[in-house]
Amino acid sequence: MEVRKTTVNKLETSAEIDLFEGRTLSRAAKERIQDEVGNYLVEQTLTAMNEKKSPIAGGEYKTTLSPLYKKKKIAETGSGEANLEFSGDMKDELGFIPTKNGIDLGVFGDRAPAADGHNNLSGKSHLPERRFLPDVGQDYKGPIKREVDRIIADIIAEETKIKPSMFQNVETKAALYEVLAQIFGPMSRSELKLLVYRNESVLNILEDQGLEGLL
Amino acid sequence: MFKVKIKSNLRTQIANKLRNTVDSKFISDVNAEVVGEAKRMIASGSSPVKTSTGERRFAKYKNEKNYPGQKDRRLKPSRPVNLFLSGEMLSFYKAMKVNGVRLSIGILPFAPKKVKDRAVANNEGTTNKTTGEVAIAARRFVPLAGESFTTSVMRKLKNVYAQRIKALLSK
Repeated sequence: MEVRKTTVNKLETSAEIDLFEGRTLSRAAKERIQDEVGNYLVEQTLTAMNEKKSPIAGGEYKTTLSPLYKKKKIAETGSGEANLEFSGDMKDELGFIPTKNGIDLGVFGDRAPAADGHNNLSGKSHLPERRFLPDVGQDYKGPIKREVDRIIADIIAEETKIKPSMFQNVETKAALYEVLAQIFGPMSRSELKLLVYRNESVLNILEDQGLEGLL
Repeated sequence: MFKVKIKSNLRTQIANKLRNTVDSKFISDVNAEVVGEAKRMIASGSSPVKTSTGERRFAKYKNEKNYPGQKDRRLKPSRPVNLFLSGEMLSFYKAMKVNGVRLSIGILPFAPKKVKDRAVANNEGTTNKTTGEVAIAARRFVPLAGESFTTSVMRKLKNVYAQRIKALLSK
């Protein structure tokens, strides 16, 4: 999950995120990954903003408002929290668009310039940073990134035809985890084990082959 | 209530081991992780439900001067719209065991009638009987038939379930 580029203009402030990373995937798998990861990232971004935290690893988030703006915000909404919600329009415009290699995630609409004001993807903002979109070279925080990896692995497990023959030479725990890593990508043994438990077709194959005990 | 049935396409031997997947510990984990995630989303003004209409954020209040009202402003800001006034309704929003492979998530059946009525009004919306106009906008927090929870909530459910299977099969 790598940010390839950012776009900032009057109607869009967004980050292009590569979700496929050169993997050979069916069109159906790609569409499911775009939909599920896109929705997941938007949802996690909205909850992080409400909790006055950045969803981005190392991302700044100033949790207090200037006295003047705080007074104005309380008069308008009753809230003096730095939750990036004055009219709510910017959060309403947060979304994603599928691209060739993944998704564009950002604010699409009239409030795009405000989103750049908070994230400074253009490098021209002088506002205190409250980062909710990743810049090139940045990544999401560990728990969010791990869940995105799980979503992608689960979709690959569901969309890939996993055959019993793939496990025919497996006799040891090490060999089993090596085959699983070849199919689903490199990840820790505990992650591979949980992946099997989340996907019953894989679990059934291992049970049929008498390999479930090696997990 | 949103009903969750544990799928039973697993081989007999495994399925037998999972006959009592839903126990009090599992319900406690679902409440902490799954319902907890749904409540995080509600608090942020987002629906935890993938609705048929596709609306991600709760509708704004129609007339903020009438509701939540100026005098309540410090107790109840007008934004985000988060279904939280006294907190009574969401205190009954929980998971409940139905049987060993089934649980439900929603307003508990033994909640006071006024809480259940309020929950249905918020979840499905109401219309003015005279004018036919929307009185209370639907702000979905329990999926209706054919709907599901959002990706974030369903991922929590999948992860809690995987941990439970891991524990049961390791016995």
